[in-house]
Amino acid sequence: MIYNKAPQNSSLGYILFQYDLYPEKIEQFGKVKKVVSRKGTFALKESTMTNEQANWFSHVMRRLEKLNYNKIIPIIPTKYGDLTISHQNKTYYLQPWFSEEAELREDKKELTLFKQLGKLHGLTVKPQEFSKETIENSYQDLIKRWEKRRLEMEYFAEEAERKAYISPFELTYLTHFSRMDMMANVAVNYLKEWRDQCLEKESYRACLCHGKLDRNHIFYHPNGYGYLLNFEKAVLDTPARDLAISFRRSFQYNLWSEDQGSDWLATYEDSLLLEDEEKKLLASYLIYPEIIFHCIDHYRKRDGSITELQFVQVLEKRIITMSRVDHFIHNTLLRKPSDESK
Amino acid sequence: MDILRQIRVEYGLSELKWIKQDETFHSEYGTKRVRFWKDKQLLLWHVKWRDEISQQSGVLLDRMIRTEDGNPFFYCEKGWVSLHDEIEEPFPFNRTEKDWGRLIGTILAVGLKQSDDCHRFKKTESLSLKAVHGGIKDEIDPMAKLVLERSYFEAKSRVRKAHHLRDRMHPIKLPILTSLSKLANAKQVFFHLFWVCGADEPVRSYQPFRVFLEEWYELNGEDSTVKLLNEINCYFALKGDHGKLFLSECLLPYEYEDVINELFSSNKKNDMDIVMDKFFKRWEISRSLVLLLSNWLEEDHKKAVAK
Repeated sequence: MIYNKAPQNSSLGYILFQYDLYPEKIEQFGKVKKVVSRKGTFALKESTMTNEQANWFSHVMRRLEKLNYNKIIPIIPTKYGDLTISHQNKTYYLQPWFSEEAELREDKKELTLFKQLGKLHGLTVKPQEFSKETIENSYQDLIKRWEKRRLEMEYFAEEAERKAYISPFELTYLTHFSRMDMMANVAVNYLKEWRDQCLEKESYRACLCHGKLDRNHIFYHPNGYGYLLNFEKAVLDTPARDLAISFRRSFQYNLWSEDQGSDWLATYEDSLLLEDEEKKLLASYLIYPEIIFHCIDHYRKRDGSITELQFVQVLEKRIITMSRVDHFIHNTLLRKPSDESK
Repeated sequence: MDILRQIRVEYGLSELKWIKQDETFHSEYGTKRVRFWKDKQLLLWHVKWRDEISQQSGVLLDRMIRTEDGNPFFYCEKGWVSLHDEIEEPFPFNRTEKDWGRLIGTILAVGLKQSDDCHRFKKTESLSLKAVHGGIKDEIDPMAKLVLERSYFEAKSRVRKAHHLRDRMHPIKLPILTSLSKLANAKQVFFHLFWVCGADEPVRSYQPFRVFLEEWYELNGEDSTVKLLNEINCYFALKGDHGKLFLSECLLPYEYEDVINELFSSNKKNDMDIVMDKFFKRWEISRSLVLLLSNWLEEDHKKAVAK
């Protein structure tokens, strides 16, 4: 006889019923519940996905299974075959619980990540039906967004300059502002080159993008493999965008070096070689100083939980990162084989 | 091969014991029901229908539990077999119109969407009142005969009104609905509605909805029925042409047909009083429901005129 020890929480009971899970113990870890049962130990994830997003998410997971891509943490279907459960404006899904993560060297973590990202993109990449309008619209949208951001940052700089006493953070920002502004212009130029090349070639590619892959969304199994998780933001898009997101997210873990970037790119390109125009697009995403602007946003909304000194340190670190990104783009990403022979 | 042994293999269950042979059994994951299907197309329709209703409404249904290979059924010597949860605790009616409205509204919406795709499911046969009336024989109590003769004229008038209402409208599609009768089919799982769908062949008609609403009205009264209609209307536009079409369905005097069939079937002759009582009751419920429904349909119209 099974005794259901689930708390008298009707929502949780409603969800676990659909998995025939009779929990012996439930622990909460943020948005994840660890459910220990006779069937095994599972992670029940709560997400804010809408019904439409949940359908897409299920489609993505089924597609990856069909493609035999097995380096993902699988989603366990309900007893009725659904991958997600929608309940009271939330979406829930169940995965096996993994507790023992491998202790990897810091530099190995991102290498594993970019290896899997390359495999995911390589397996799902497809040339898209060419549409001049799509390219043109993407270009114009991004230009508009960047210009708006740039103006906001310019305004912040002007405001700081007008002050009688400039804060250390503002001073650091002002010192580097013209360089950041220059980088934003370089990003626009690379983006223009991407657009021109696409229009000339009349082709572009799209693949399944994870959407926010970083260390938090990969499980480092003791068997040496990395298993991707959290495909809630997955989309069909250019590989360059997903790669740029993962590069940017990975910068934050340590003071990133140009050599590391070369290794990440090489590992990625073992599975999917980027086209020339995709490299331009990646370069434009990376060189656009969004990480600096993001830091300014935080500073403007500061609530005292981070000190002025800490803000300066973060900003300095990001400025150094941007300088290295600049070198990485020129010395590695956009370097042609003919340059090496010189 | 014994069916329980096959279930053990197909579903990866182990501790199985019949409660009622070939119907329900105990398992380590609760009580389950086995259903045998002779018609594979009907089974496939039920799988798809249940999945869609449950996913859209969030209401639990006795959906087909998947086998270890992810299939909604398997084959055995007796035909196709599906496995379902068997729940005993009944779902309450008090102040649950919201849940019921979500379920019934979604059933109507999905039924209408399916109307173009499922051509195999026919309309309910139209009522031939004349033939029904011709079935009245002299062998019954003269008073009962008199009541039935008089009711015939009222029944004819109801059919006429129903046809008139239908003919005045532009032709619109009818939903595909499976049986919604027996409110006792509503069970609860952790305070949530769990609806047992059965295995009936669906029809292209509002008749199952009428049967449901009559039962609801009888059990829960007028206020609750109005609340339920309002809730249904959130998921399916019942105010408007579909409401009128439903009203025309409610006008049809099926109870008249049923009473004559029951009275003159050989084994019912001795239960005449019971049968006639049931007829009066159904006639009255049907009359009150038609009145309530027409008022409900005109409510907004009256409000608009008053403004």
